[in-house]
Amino acid sequence: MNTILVIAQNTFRESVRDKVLYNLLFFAVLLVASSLIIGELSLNQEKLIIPRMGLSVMLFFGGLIAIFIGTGLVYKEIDKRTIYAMLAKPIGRGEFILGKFFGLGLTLLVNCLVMLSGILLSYAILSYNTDGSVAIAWALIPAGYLIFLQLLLIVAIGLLFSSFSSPALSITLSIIIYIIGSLSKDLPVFAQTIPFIITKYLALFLYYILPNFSNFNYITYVAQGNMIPLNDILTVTLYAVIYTTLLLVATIAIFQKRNFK
Amino acid sequence: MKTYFAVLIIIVCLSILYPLQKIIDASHPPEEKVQQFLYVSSPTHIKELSFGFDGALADLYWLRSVQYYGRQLLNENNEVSFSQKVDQKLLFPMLDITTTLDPQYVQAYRFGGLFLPDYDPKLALDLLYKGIKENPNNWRLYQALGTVYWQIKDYKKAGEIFLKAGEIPKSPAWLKIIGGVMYSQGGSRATACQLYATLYQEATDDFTKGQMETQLKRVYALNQVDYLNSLLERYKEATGVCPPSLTLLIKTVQQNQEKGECGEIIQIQVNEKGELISILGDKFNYDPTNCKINMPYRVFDPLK
Repeated sequence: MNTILVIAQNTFRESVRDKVLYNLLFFAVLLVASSLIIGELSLNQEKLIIPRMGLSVMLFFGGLIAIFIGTGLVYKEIDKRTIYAMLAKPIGRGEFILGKFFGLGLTLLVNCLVMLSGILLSYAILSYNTDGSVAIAWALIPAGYLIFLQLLLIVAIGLLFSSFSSPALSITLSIIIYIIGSLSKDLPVFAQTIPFIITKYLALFLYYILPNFSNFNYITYVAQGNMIPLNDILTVTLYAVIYTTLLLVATIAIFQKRNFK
Repeated sequence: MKTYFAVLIIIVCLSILYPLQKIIDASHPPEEKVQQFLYVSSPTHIKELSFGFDGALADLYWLRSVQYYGRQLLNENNEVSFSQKVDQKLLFPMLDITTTLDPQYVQAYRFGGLFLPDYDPKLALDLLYKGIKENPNNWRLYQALGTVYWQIKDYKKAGEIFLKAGEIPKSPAWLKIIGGVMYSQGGSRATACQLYATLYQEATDDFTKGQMETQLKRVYALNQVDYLNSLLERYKEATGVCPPSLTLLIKTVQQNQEKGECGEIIQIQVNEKGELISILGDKFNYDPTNCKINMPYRVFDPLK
């Protein structure tokens, strides 16, 4: 456990050194600029647009970090040959993978927390009344949490691919899985329209086996002022935990069989 | 980790995923709109390809809709002018996309309800019915729908819609009053003024306020024309001839205390050249051969 924490800390430090968190600066500029001009352009819809834009940008940048850094986590160690020094020590390959996963997870957590705070602050400023009262968009917090879970799932997907293929291929495959996972909600409806029984069940099988990213998407829902039901948060959390566990176990199993000679 | 142990964990996880996804689907059913997508429909296409960014895309299309409409209101001096006819052929597709991406975008439905009737009332009705289907308890959408029916002179339907809006919990009481007025005197200018004045007061942005103010002024301009025509008729009855120009009426007009159909005192301004000008700022187009004022070119009767 201690080993996993040390690797996670180092992975986090490495991403800070690699200036991954610089995207926050860009996000801050974007948010301030949006707050200033969106109200003018949108016929007073800024209270709807700011949370939505903010959460979408959070998903977009988080997704970029998860895919591009997640897929390079293992490969970089192999490419720089630092993996030999590491695995020569009493570190299990499973611990190495988990450490890398939690390290990038921590980077994404910081990223999400800062971005979410920025969105909440912008919203509070926009809703500031002359009597001194401000509105806090509490509904955005669970939505931000679900985005974070989605990003962890993307990291696990990236790690799985990077455990047996090159970074370029891992990135491509991860993006494809993200696209398929975002569209997979249509598969049950598609299955209803197919007359062939095998294809019908294949579509349903794929629906349940592929990651379903639409489970995590509550951005529009919360921006409209709705609160995500607690039951939904719990089931989606369970979904993320199970799917991420599955991917990490598969990654570790593949990585343990990998020959570095 | 032993391989068989890893395989076991993977199998267990996979077997949990199925019932779990069933639970998620029960609270979050897959959208039936996909079938429309299969038979090709542009807004649903965009929604399918948004990859989770449908909210942000809805905002972008909303901004585009507002900018598209707003740009058309700019006159040759780059100033916003609400009294010019605009080409709105792209407004419906843009709002349709916005509201497909976010079916709860009430402002987009209302925007279409207010501005599409000038171009094609059927499109405004389509958009508002779509909005009501998605937001059945939003009285503002019924208000916009009733207004469109009033504009196409279906006063009975407009009355029904306003009364229905008045039955929605937390809706204002005046909706039922307007509903009643629609039934009894839907085609009157007084109703038009009442409706536009309400929409003006309800508007939260300068854009809609400006447009509603112009609509109100158009009705007032019609009252001004009627008033001037009645003066010209009285002049002809008294003298047997038509006045050669409107300047002869200036004194009478300036002392006027007569009210128009909307209850407003008709006040007509005189410009620096000594010409009578309408509330919209246009010179009245007088035809001395038949003693009649033609409509100022920017006034098109909202009731016709």
